[in-house]
Amino acid sequence: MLRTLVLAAALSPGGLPAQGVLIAPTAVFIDARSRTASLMIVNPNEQVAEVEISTLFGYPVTDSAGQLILRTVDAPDSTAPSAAAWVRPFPRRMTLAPHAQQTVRLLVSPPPSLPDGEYWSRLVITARGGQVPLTQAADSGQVRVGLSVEVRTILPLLYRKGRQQGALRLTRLTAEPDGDSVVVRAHLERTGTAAALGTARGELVDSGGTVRASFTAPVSAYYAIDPRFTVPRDSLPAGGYRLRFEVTPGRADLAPEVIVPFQAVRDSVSLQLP
Amino acid sequence: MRRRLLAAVLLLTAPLAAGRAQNIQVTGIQGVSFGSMLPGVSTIVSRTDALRAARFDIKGAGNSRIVELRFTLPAALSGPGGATLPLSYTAGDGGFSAEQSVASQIGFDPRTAYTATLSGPGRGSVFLGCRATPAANQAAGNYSATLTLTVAYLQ
Amino acid sequence: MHLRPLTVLVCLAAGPAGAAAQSSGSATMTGTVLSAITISGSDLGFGNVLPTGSKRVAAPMGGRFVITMAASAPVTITYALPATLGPGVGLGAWELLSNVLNDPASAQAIPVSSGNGSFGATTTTGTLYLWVGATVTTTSAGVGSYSRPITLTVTYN
Repeated sequence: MLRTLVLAAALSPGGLPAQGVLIAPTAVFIDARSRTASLMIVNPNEQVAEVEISTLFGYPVTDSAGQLILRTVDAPDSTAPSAAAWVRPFPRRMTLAPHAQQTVRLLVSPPPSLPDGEYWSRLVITARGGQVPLTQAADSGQVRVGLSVEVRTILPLLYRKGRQQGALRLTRLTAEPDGDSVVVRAHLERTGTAAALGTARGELVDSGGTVRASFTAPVSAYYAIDPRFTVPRDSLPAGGYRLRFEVTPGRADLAPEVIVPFQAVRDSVSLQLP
Repeated sequence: MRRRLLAAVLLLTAPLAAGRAQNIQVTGIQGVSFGSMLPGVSTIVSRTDALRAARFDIKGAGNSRIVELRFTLPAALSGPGGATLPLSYTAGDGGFSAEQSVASQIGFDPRTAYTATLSGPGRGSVFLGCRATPAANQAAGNYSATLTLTVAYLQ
Repeated sequence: MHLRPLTVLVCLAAGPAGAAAQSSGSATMTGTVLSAITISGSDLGFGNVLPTGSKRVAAPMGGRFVITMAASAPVTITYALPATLGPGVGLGAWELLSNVLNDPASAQAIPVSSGNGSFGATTTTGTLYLWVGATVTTTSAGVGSYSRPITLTVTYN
């Protein structure tokens, strides 16, 4: 007799609808004068959500392929600009009814002798659905256990004490054809006291001075990053081109008042499209 | 001659007094303040919300004059990059108070003209609530719109 | 014949007295939309499987995640996909699709070499859809229910 194996909707129980949260804002900036901020969390779904908030120290870096990843440090030493230990969310855990909202207060309690500067933390907001109750299947004695989908959102929190100075250095700009694209790489290094939050723009210009392709992308240089950008080549003819690249302060997703301005950086390189 | 002079004075002064009696002043105290909103989440401001509801104060002639109240209601707030955020109003979103108190209002539909009676000294206040409905992908930023109230004597 | 002064005065004075007064006032309505990110996910179901055998659920029919955020916001998506659900119950051949439209047919395949990985994502529309599928392989697995969580992490940079 064939036995069947019942797999509960395997990566969560069969029939459980969507699970998740809405979080705003997507980046938190706190200054030493107020030392507080708030986060709004909304359960947009029809099921109860369990939400938990924690902090960690981390900052974006790039891997060898130029992709942004979050580098986390479990136990930052005293030289690291970590605010993770000082940030306390209230409440830290909550159960949100369907369509309910919760305001989470973030209180920063830094050490008394903290020098002026910018300090970083990451807020980790984890949302899970309500647990499926254990049931006993009457006919076969099987026990069914359900687990919900888990979604995590990690947001930046920047704490600023004193006046900040923004500065960014651009070096090692390259542009090379790669299949149907032009791959642009650059080395961006923060040289001021605040993370450089800006927008990178690139233009591919032909020998006649006409812009034939372009790209725009947000960048975040906490220390140094080597991001990778791609410009679609489409049907550009073979020949000589120039890639003009710049990074300017400000991002479309961040309010202008939270940006520590830095002098825009620019460079250009020549390339040959085969 | 004296009678003619007196008649002339009376005739000159009468319409000037009637002009002052006809004056009506409408002052926008505050517009609807939605505060922080979330994409995809509607925000409702009640006309009885003293901090966030719109308020207009009316100063007119005495003797409990009857006035017509007419709103020019914006359909949307305008925001960054030309983004618009839809607004909507319901039948009870308008409120009038001869006592000029947010706690003591008579509700009315702000989408149509409303007839109200000013207080004895010619005072009144008009309140407005509203619903804002940001889209799920609403652009972040500051939004605003102009709200206008027109008040006219009916008698 | 010239008009007597009293008559002229009456004519001049009578005009304004007939006008009804009307006045308008304005105020500014304001609000601020916060930048927000919404992430939701739904399950990947395999239904009934034989104790020894395999069954595949392709990504378009599998679990789905939806991320709504500011257009062009810089995010990194990290996934943790379990390799087993228990003794004799393995998961593999993971398939991950990504699209700015709710259309798996035109979605881009994300290379998945192991159960854990990450990729950068932006969306010009403000919404990003992810679909996940896999193959479950059983080898003399015991009768029962098996499940593990999928964890999707969205890091806002």
